[in-house]
This record gives sequence, structure tokens and C-alpha cells, in this order.
Amino acid sequence: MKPFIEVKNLTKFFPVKALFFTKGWVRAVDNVSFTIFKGETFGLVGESGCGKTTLGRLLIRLIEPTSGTVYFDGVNIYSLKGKDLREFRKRAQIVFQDPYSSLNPRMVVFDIIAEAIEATHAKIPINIEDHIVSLLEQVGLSKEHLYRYPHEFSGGQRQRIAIARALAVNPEFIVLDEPTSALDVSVQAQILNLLKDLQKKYGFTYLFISHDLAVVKYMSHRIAVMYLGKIVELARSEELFERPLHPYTQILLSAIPIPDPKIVRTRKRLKPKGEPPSPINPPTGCRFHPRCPYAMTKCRVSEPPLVEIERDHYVACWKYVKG
Amino acid sequence: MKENKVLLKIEDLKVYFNTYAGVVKAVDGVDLSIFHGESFALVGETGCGKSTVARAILRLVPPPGRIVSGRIIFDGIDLMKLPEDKLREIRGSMIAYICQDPTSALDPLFTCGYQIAETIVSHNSIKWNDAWNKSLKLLLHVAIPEAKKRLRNFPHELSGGMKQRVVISMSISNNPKLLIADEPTTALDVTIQAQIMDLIKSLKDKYNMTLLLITHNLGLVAEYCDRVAVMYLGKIVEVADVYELFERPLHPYTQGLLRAVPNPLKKVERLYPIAGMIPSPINLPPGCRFHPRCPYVMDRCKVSEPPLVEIGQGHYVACWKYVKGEVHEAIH
Amino acid sequence: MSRLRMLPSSKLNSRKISELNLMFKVLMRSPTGIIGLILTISFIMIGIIGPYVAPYDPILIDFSKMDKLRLLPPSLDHPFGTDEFGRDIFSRVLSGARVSLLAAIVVLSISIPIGLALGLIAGYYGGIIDEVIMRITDIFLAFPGLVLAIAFSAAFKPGIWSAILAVSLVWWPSYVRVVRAQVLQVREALFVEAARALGLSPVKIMIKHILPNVITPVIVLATLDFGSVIIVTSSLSFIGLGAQPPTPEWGRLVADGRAYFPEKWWYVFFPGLAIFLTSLGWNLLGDSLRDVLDPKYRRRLEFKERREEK
Repeated sequence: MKPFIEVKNLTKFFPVKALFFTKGWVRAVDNVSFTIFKGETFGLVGESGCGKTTLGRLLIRLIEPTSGTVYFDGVNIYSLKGKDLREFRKRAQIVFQDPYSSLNPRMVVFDIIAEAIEATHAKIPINIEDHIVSLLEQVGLSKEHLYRYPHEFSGGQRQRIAIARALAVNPEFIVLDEPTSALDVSVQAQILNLLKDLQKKYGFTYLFISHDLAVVKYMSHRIAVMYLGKIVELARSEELFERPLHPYTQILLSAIPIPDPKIVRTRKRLKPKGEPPSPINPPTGCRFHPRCPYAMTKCRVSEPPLVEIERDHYVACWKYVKG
Repeated sequence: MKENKVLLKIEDLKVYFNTYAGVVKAVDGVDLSIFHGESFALVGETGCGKSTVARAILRLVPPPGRIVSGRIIFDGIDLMKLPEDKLREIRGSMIAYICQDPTSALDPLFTCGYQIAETIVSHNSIKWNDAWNKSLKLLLHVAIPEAKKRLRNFPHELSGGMKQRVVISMSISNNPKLLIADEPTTALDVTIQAQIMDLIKSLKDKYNMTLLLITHNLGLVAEYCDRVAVMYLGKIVEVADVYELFERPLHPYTQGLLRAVPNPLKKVERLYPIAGMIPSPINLPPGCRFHPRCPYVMDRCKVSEPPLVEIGQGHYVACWKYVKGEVHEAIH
Repeated sequence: MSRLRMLPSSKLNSRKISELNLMFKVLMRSPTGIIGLILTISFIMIGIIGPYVAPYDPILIDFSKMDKLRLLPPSLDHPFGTDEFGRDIFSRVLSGARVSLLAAIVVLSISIPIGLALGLIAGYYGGIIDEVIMRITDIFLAFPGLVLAIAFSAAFKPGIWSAILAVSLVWWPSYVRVVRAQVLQVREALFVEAARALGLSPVKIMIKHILPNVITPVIVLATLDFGSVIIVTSSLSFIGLGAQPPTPEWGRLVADGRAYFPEKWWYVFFPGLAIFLTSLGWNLLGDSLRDVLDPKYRRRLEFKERREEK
């Protein structure tokens, strides 16, 4: 598979303001580097405050980075302007988490999708209405939904509209930011299947962000685990679940709910020490060290780099670095 | 540990909501028995009525909802017949309730210590100072770090997990017999969720409480509960022992739910969603409510509602597939 | 957007028309709303055609008949009586409506666009822009409206236009506040982020996405303000800073009638009644509009009608 998106030393700090001066910085994304291959689903997991949402938005330039670059098909997206930037927007889209606020309540479905086409100057077909209807049909809706307002739809249907909006510009890369977290289990399965089918049909590359590890595993080829703005482990999905190396990943995996009483009641729960830290003043050295059961002196002092321990399996942990 | 004595018995509970769009039969004839000392899960998706059942037990259903009929017998007392002041004595002391969002359960204007002490004082004749000390002890029981400091903190100064611990400490403050936890961890991160559920379990064991867990998360059910009831559109469709339910789900809806949830330990090629959508609660399908989405639908299902019958030991299903011939009575 | 709009606009319009229809029906169900609507429509009509249907000339004084006609009580000939110059007060009140109408329209036409623009910009961009705009707004808001209006008015040459200008200067800050508060909420909505993900420019986002979602409280406030502006301009005229004689502005009339109160009560009473009924009408209408514009009520009505159809 060829590299499609290359993230290099991407950093985003948010200032914490008290009145007029800056009290501190939230290190939402801190010097993150990785590659996404064309046609794959790259999963991004972590708990609240880990930076995955920010990273997703950085990748489609919804927010500007503090430093670092993202190469999209060889081009640095942060240097794009005007027409080139519009071209990029056609190729990279996003589907948001909350179907209840991601659609303008004052616009009917037709307008919402037509706007996407018009804004990115995508090719305007002769018969716009038929074109939009065919988009809706791709996501499981129909012509009768064209002139309805968002509040007339259920959560699952709204999410389908949001997906149709992303499809309307013919993208190659779609960031899926917790697309099913707000939906019921049965609806979630429908939407996930839809996303998979669309990927098979159009060859999309996905960045799948979620806090639900089971869903991420189902959808993704590779998964990156984030903690406090850094990637702590990156591996193929199967590999990550079978042999989690980073202590945080191990703790995370031992905590996820598993719908099988025989297994889940006999598994060993690994408990992290203490409370989740604040992203404003992260701990020195390895960010996880205050809660890590294996913390050594080195961990308090310096940050471990993300290194390839085994083939395609990267970890950022001193436990695995010799010398 | 399981005694066969029934602590809470719900008989034919009906809770209807009069909305502008029509009457929503949120809970439409629910029968349930919860035994002393067990962990009972009430599972279902949004709109199935599980939260309404929980609120109905304490008669806390907000208008335009009202309890139309049914008996709720708690430790021998019919809660539906109790006058309001007697019911208030039970709320917060014998039956405790933890809700989903700890932020809205705590008053932002008062310190945590104050709120816990207030719970204690309103149910016991005890001096404020003693209540305050007891609050400290409770916070220690729920393993809140720096408990003394937390007493004086306001809710907004605490994280989600800590707030939920405070709420839990309030709920156990009067040694309740029944703890109703309504989606207690939905708003929390995975690792915190595990901590909170472990805490609830350990408190339950320590104080010999009975737990009614309301959730949509099948993984939590598998890990923490002894028996499970599955609800769909206001009715109970299946009740079973937890191992039995996951191994031999009988009702097509339960089967559908289990197939639609990705199991992280298995290689799942495809999820099998349940066909169709949850219908509007105002225009309920005739007969069995699940029939429009059921892969095994028969003619009988479109016409009459199946009763909840005992198929195996302690395993109840409401499905015509398992009923041969006529049904004389619904056993419970 | 125009090139994409051409085809299906008819279907979209029929949707919008049915929504307006529902809005009207919701209004009709509120008794105060109906009263408000009647009063305001009457006021607007009188404002437009008043001077043409007035039975007597509101300004001209017939010196020859003055002695016989001055300060007559209400009668069939003169329903509101006559003033000290023998002029028919009814005609003067009818003509005065136009002045008040004009004043309110001008003041709001100046304040609302300024308020919207500044509120949108302040709310959307935040930061230093927001601070600057809001502090300037705060300075204006720190003074009671009437006092500030008096101050401005006194600085200009006395006259109705000075009063209108003064009131406009005082009026725009409250709109900035209201709009900004709404913008702050809407700005966080995901559909705004989605618009940014499409690469829409900030101006386009403000106009297309944020504005339609913040306009509702502005409409309600504007309706309520109609009445308030009339009272303020009348008050300015009352103390002599607004309309000058012979302009038959209502506040002016009340001021003139004071000298003859309480024996010739009709002089003060009828212009005062006009002020009262007009601002009451706008108030009631504005109040009902709040419900009309809330989609919940329309849905409620929609469902009720559907059920009755069955």
C-alpha cells in the first residue's frame, strides 16, 4: 500500500486564557508523526483529553497547527491557498459525531447537500436534484427526504445525511469523528456497515476516531492509541488486541466491556493508579508514568520515542527500549 | 449468595406520556421480580422504557408522563399506594437512585460535603456535625483521593468520575436495600467506567444491597449482572440468567442485539444490524411489536402480542416461536 | 447559489409557505396575539392613510372660526374634541400616527442592521474584536436610554428628525448584545464547523448559517421595540425636544394639552390613549411572536390537525 497521508511532528497547543494573558497551554497534540495508507481505515482511540478529536480536525485543516506538517498525496496541506485549498477540500471531508447539531436546522436536506457541492466547486451535474437523490439513495435514504428539515429525522437518518454530504464532493479521504457514538446499537451497526460498503465501492481512506475500542477494531486495519496528546502505540488491529505492549493499552483493553460473561468475568483487570491528569500540565518525561504500574526512574525524566519494536508494531515505552 | 426472596416485584406496570403528537406508551405492561442480593440488569435501546421503569419505582416520572396502572411491591409494601410523605422516606434511604449524568445530580451552588450531609440529615435525626463526619467516611468508602479536600469542593471542581463517586456516596449513605443505577457510566471514559462499576459492585457486596442496573451496554451486563431483562418498545421480551442469555438468546430482538455489537475478542467479519428502524412509539405495530423487523415473523405475530412465558428454568421469552398451541396463563 | 436554486425552488417554497401558514395559525390561537395583530395593523394603516382620511386639516388654523371652535368637548362633529386653536384633535391624532410610524421604522432600520452586523462580528471572531465592540456597546448601555436620547437631542436642533436620530444612536447597542449572545451559542454548533470544513468564508458562514439561527430573538425584540420607540419619541416630544409645532406628534399633543387638564380632559386623553394602544399592540404581538416562531408550537398544531383529519 502506498503512503497517502504523512503526518510529521504535528503539534497543536491551545492557550488557556485568564483575562488578557495566557495562563498555560493545553498540549492537545504533541509532536505526533505517522502515515496513513491509501484505501485503509486508520483507527484512532483514546479517552477524553487525549487529543484524537483535535488530530482529526488538524488532518483536514479545520484548525491550524502550532507546528508540523501534513502531507496529503505529497503536498503540505498547510501551505495551500485559494484554488488549491478548495481542491483539497474536495478530496478530504469529515463526518461529525453529533447528528443533532451537525446539520443546520434551518436548511432542508437538498440545501445541505447542494451547499457542499457548490462550496467546493465540485462539478455541478446538469440535473442537480437527480444527482442529490442518487446520493441519498447510496446512503439508504430516498427522494421523499429531499425537502425535509433535519428535526424530522431520527439520529441514524441524520447521520446518513451527513455521510451523503461528505460523499457529495467525491472525496478520497474521510475523517469519521465518532460517527456512531450517539446512536443506538442496532443503528450503529447499520451505519458502520454502510461506511464499510462505501469504502469497498469507492476505495475511501478513513480516519476512524472513537473511544469505543470494539467498534474501532471492527472498522480499522491499523489502530493508534493516544494518551495526552501523544501516540503511545500503533499496530495492526489484530496485533494490538492480541499483544498490547504499552501499559496504557493493556489497561485500556482490560477495561473495555465485552459482551460475553464467560470471558469477561475471568479476565484480569489492570488498574491504573490515580486519576487521569489534566492536559494543561502534563507530567514530565513519559506522560503516563504517574499511573503506570511499571514506571522506572527513566520514565519520570525523559519521554520515550515511538519506535518500531516489531514489524509494523510501534510503541513509545522505555520498557521496550534496550540501552 | 442468592436468596429466593423477592425484594421488588413489579406487576403490570403501565406508564403513558401525553405528548402533543399523541399518547406514548413508554411502559406498557411490565412484570418483573428482583430477588434479594442479586444484580439485575434492565437492558434496551433508547426509547424502550427502561429508564421510565426505574423512575416509576420511585414515582419520579415527570409530566406529561403518568403511571396509569400497576403495582410495585417493595419488601412487602405497595409503593403505588403509599402517600407522598411516606414515599419520600423511602427515597434516598431504602431505595437509592443514581442517574446517568452526575453533573446534573449535584447542585452547583453547594459543596459536595454539604450535599452528602444533607442526604444523611434528611433521613436521620442526627446533628449536622456528625453528618459531616459521616460524609467524610463515605467519601473514603468510595475511594475518592484527598477526601477531606473534596468535602469542601464544589461539583465543577471535580472530574466526571469523581462526581459520580460523590453521587454514589450520597446514595449509599443511608444503607439502601435497593440501588437503582440508571446508566451510571455512560458519560464516563472506559477506564473510569470500569472503576466506577467495580466500585458499585464492591459496595453492593459490602453492604449487601440489591442492584438494578439500567443500561444499553451489553458488555457491562455480561460483567456485572446475575440476571437480565431485555426491553423493547415498552415491553419485556426476554428474561434470563446472564450466562444463559448470552449463550442461548431466544428472542429475535436479543439475538439481533448480540449480533449487532462488535466483540473485540473475536474476528468479526460483519455486523448484522437489525433490519428496519425502531418505530415511532405513538404508532405501535399491531401484534408483536417487533414483528416488522423480525426475521422469523409468522402470521400470528402480526395479529396478537405474545405473552411472557417461561421456556427454560428462569428463562422467559415473549415470542410466538416458542409457544405451541394456546397459552393459558403467563407464568412468572 | 442562484445557479443551483433554479430547479426545485417551487417545492422548497411550498414547504416554506406551509410553515408560514402554520405560524399564522399559531398566532390566531392566542387571544392576546389577535388583539396585538389588530392593533398593530390598525396603527400601520392609519399611519399610511391617516392624513388622507382625516375629516379636517390637522395643521391649518381658521382664525375666523377659532373663537367658536376652540376647546370643544368630544361630539359627533369632533369625536376627540378640538384644541386651543380650534383644530380637530381626531384629525391631528390620525396624522400623528404617521410621525410615530416613521420614527419607529427609521430607528429600527438603523439599529437592527448595525446590531446584527456588530453582534455577528463580535460573536464570531471573539478575541480583541469582540472586546472592542462590546466595550463600546457597554458605554452606550451604561446610560439610561431616555437620558442619553435627551442629551443627544438637546445637542441637535430641535425637531422630529433630531429626536429620531438621537433615539437611533441609543437603540442599536441592545441588539448587539442580543445577537452576540445567540451567535456565541450557534458558533459552537457542529454545522458551523461542517461549513468551515467545506471551506466557506467567514462572511458566508455568518450570513448563511449563523444569521438564520439567531434571527428569531431579534424579530421578537424588534416587535416589542416598535412600541418602546414610539413611547421614547413621544416622551422627547413631550418635553419639547422632538416634534415641534405644528407637527401633530402624539407626545407633543399631550404636552400641549397639559395646560388645559383636567377641565378640557379630551386634549390629553385621546393622544395619550393612542400612544397607549399602539405600544400595547406591539407588545402583545411581540409576545405572541415568541411562541409563533418557536417550531415546537407549530409541530404541536401540525399533529393536532393531522389527528383531527383522521
